[in-house]
Amino acid sequence: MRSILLFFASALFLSPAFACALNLPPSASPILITLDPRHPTPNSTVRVSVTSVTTDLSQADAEWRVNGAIAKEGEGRLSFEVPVEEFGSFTDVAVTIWRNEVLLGREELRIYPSSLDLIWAADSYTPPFYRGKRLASPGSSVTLRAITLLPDESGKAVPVRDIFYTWYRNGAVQERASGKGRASALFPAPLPGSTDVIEVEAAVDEGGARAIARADIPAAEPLIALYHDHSLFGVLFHDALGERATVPDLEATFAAFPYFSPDPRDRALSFVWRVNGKNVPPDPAEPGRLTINAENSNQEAQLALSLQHASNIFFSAQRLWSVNFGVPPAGTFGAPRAGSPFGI
Amino acid sequence: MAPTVSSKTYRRIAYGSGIVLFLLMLSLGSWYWYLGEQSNGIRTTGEGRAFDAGTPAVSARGSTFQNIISGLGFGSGRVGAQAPSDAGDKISSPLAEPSGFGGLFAINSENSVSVGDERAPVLGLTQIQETPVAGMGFVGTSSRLRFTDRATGYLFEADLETGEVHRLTSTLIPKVYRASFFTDGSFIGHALTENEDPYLFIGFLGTTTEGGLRALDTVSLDAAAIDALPIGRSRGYIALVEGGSGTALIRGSTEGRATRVATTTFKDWRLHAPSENQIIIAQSAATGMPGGAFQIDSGTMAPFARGIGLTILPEEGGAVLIGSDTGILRLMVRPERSASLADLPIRTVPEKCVWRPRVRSGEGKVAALTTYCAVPREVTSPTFLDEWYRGEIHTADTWWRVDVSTLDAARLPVPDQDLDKEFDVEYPVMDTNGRFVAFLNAHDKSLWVLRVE
Repeated sequence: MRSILLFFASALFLSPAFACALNLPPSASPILITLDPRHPTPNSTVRVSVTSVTTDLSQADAEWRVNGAIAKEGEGRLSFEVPVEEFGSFTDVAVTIWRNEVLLGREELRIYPSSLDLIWAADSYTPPFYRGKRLASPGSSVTLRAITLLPDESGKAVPVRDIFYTWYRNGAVQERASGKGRASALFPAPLPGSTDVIEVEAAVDEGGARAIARADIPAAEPLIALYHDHSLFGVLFHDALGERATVPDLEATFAAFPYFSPDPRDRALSFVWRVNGKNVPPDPAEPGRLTINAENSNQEAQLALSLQHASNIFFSAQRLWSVNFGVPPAGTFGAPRAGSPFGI
Repeated sequence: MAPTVSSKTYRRIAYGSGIVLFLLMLSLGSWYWYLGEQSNGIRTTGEGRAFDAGTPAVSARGSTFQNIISGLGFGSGRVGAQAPSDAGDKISSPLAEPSGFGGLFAINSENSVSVGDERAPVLGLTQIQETPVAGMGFVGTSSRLRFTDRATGYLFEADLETGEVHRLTSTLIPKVYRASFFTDGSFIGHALTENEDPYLFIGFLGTTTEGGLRALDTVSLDAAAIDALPIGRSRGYIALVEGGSGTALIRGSTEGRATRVATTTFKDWRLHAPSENQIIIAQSAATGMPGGAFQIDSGTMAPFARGIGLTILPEEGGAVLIGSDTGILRLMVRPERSASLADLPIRTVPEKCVWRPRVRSGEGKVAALTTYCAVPREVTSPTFLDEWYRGEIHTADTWWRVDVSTLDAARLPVPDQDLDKEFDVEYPVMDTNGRFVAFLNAHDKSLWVLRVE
């Protein structure tokens, strides 16, 4: 009886000790190194910090080592920035924490830079030699590509085919686009007036390197630009006609080019021209071209162009220009004239 | 007894014949007049299309000559210019002060204009050609500037130290929109097909000559190539080829087949090749849109730069100018690949800048990292990149020199500051000695040269 009571008494008083011993494996460190950003990119800097859930580190002494060399030390030095080099390299960071010469913990971490860039492009039309981006107008498609550099355990880049990609569109998982090696995805352009949020998560197995990237894709409004189609120099893409424009000749050919639209050679795209309020049937071979002869007139033309697509109900564009013909170039030859097309 | 014809009948026949003859003559005359008018019209149209015209010849009195002459100190835009008093074949009126291409001009051939015995280098800011130019480039380590006329595709060469301008070629290639030059003076030309698809070709001096001019031989690039840049020697080039499945990067030259360097399922790239071993592709930019640039390394795309409204100008030594357009322009520099970005105190786009070569040829010493930038006096558009690329807005620029090591920027004292003339600088190029910057004025695609040292 006494032995039973003694057993229960010792269990009651000693169990906390057993609990501590059981809850904390001997090798566990009470401190933790965190990174900001969590997945540093090549040729950047990362802030490393030491935290603890069991110990107050506010007045502790810290010694930081980077690749074996002391980088920072002192009381309260709980974080600092570490440079990260090229992909394929690694940086060893170690921290030791004391308080009143009592060792509180030691932790090490190897940092492999990784990167995940999410880029996108739309398949809308832009004129030849246009240096700008093709934007996502309603009815077009958007291709996204995850440019991924994730390291394996040895720091080498994991092949794309071994990376699992999960795609999200406006918060919803896109299962058909997701999968192993699925680094590209194709989505329709956003609806007019809206912005689609596309996210992709790239992961190397369970517990391996991970990265997340996001792209906001706004819907673009198609527009029309009008250029002088010069007989010698071709289309003067460098000098779009403004709302009020002048040309030096009494006859001129104009070329209308849509931006962020279906291809103008698409027969379903219709060009509706009006000159001084009257409909002008387009040339079936070149519906975007219009030649105007202003002789025997007041040499002023109000041009209007409207584009519609037979099957893309979201697509439409229209624009107005007021053009004065036979106005000689201002200033000396070659001197630029704001708002007027080039003329010889 | 034979029937006889009465006199009355004779008269009727005579009158009838006369009337018929008259009507016949009238109709024939009308046809003659009508056909003559039609022939005149057809002939006029044919002349306009250069039917039966021989190889266009350059004469001292041609329009191209006039254009060049007008840029040599006699036209507008030149400080201190005076019009010649004698407009004959030999221009002998000296300028009031030496400027541009010098004081005395004499025509020594039908195809060139030259200074007499005096060396007359380009000073300050000088217009080289008034009419649109497709592109230009310096030949080797010299101060000779070659440029391609947009309307004709003719190749010209201007010696900025002697003041001479020569036309080199006789081959007509209408409407060359853009030209990028090799160091040997040949060029990659961009034109349009009848379907308004871009087509690219390499143009170089041929061996046949006519009238003192050489033919321009051409080699077409891949039919689906949308952009190409000279790279390395021996007319090597790097080109972007777009197809249904994405974009391929190919490398070739006029002396061999092109090989594929990299492929991506992606489109809408811009190409940069600051050196033979550095190929960078950057997404086409738009105001407010995130963009990325990637260096091609062993067929893979390694991140190079990222930003909003991203445009870049990489330098052969590893530095890069990075532009951002978030609605406000911002220009930064990264002197080395591993260095941090640093803001520059000027607001412009990298496309208006040019790197000075680090190593000056002939002197062998390494110059401090410097870039020259044209900076708009003001940018009021909240979507600058988009509107500038579409040709809807133009800027009025001033030239600045930036020391990358100190991040100091100094405005250059250029005479144009006093003129009522605006420059929207694009495609600037610099000679290997770091003395001249040639650029196009996007207002009218005229060609200008600025002497900076």
